[in-house]
Amino acid sequence: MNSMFFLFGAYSVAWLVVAGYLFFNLRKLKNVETRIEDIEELLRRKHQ
Amino acid sequence: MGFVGNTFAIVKKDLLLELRAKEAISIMVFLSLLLLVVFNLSVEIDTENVSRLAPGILWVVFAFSGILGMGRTSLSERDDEAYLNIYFSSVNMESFYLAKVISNLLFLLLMEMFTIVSFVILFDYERLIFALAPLSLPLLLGSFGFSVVGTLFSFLSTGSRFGEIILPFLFLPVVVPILLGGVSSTDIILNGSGGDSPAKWLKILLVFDLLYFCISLILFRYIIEE
Amino acid sequence: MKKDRITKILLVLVLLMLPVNFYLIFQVAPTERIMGDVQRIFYLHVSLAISAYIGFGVLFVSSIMFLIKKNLYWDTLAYSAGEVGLMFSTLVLITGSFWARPVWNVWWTWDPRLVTMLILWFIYIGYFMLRKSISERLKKARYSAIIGILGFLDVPVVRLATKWWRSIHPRLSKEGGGLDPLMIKVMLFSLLTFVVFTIVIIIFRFRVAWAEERLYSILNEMEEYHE
Repeated sequence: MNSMFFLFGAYSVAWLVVAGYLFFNLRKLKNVETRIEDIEELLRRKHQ
Repeated sequence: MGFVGNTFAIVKKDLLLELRAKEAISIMVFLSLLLLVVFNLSVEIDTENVSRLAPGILWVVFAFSGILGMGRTSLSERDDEAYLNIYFSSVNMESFYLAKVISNLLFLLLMEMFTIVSFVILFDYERLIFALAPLSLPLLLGSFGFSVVGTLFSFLSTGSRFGEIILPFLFLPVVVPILLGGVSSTDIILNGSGGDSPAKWLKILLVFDLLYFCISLILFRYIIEE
Repeated sequence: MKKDRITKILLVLVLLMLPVNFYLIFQVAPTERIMGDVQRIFYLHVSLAISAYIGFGVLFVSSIMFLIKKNLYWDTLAYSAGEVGLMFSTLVLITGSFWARPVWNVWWTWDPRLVTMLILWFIYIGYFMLRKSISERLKKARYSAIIGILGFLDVPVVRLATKWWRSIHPRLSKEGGGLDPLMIKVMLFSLLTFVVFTIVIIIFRFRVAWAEERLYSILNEMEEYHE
């Protein structure tokens, strides 16, 4: 019972951290992409 | 002037500057004295356990006072633009680095002698003085390693907004082998722990010194290059 | 692009391998007789350690490449891999504690492998502190590359020193006995899974970082243009 706590504790901490890290980076990527699109949009309007 | 001549010219300049300003040395010496006092007040030390605690206390003091003092010596180069002058006066980068390592080594050894004498007085542990001859080898090898890494890192810290505060964070983890080697060989010399010989620890210090000296010599030019 | 296809293949591969790895660890691998089920942390713990070393190894090689090529591409790869390595090494230390507590009844043991990982963890914390504290982009890359190179070279020396150091300061000396052959097979599969997984994460992190770098350089150019 007690040892099960440590087993699941270790696996859940590890996978939560990895998942959190990936999620965090995914959001960062989305954010950067929208900013690049905004800039491109701005440039296109300027040229017209 | 050749490589050796250049190197010694810079060492001489550093020593003369230090003799006038006494910045690095005073930081090292007073910090080590202060740390010894703090240790004495916070750790219960008596004639029974002093020889067991001495190696650890000494090397912690060497490492901390050493790195903060070395941080000072590279800063003075930046302050008076001597840094750039050396770069443009075509003195070989390697000889500049080697000179800095030598002068820092001399400062470190001076601080260590002072620390050992203070330790003998403050902790009432005369045996340390008589062990000075066998201790000289680990002290020399350890200090050279400290100087090799510390000199390189102190130039890195000049580019950092955090200044010298960043130095212990970079320096201490990297010199862990020196700390282990220094403490263990000192412990063997003072207490003869386990009938071990300090030779294998001296070997680790030597390996560390050679490895880091060669790599740092190659890498130093990438710090200065703009 | 060819690179994209390799990444996709790796991603599909890792998505297939991860559930298989879970199945192997929890269903196929035999339960250890003395330690019981908690021994299954071992598969995760060792795999994470390998992943951390891959991250730091890539950081080391890219740091050298940066100093040679002076291209920010390599610096971006270096810190991406370093970040992944730092995350994995943090998890190594945490899962190590989860292992040590039920098995040895302590939260931490000064085992040479653990100490080496802890020292490395500190070195790379220093690496990112230095990066954060330098604002000039190229100087940041050059200075941190030096830490990336020196830090990784410390691994064998620290490992050897801590091994000898422990031999005169004996603490806990419970080594696992012989592993069951089936356990070794499961272990190897787990290692392989994490090698692929780590490569995929590093590639992903690099893409995010590279997109950011491009955005910043565009913004910088725009600023200069306006001035």
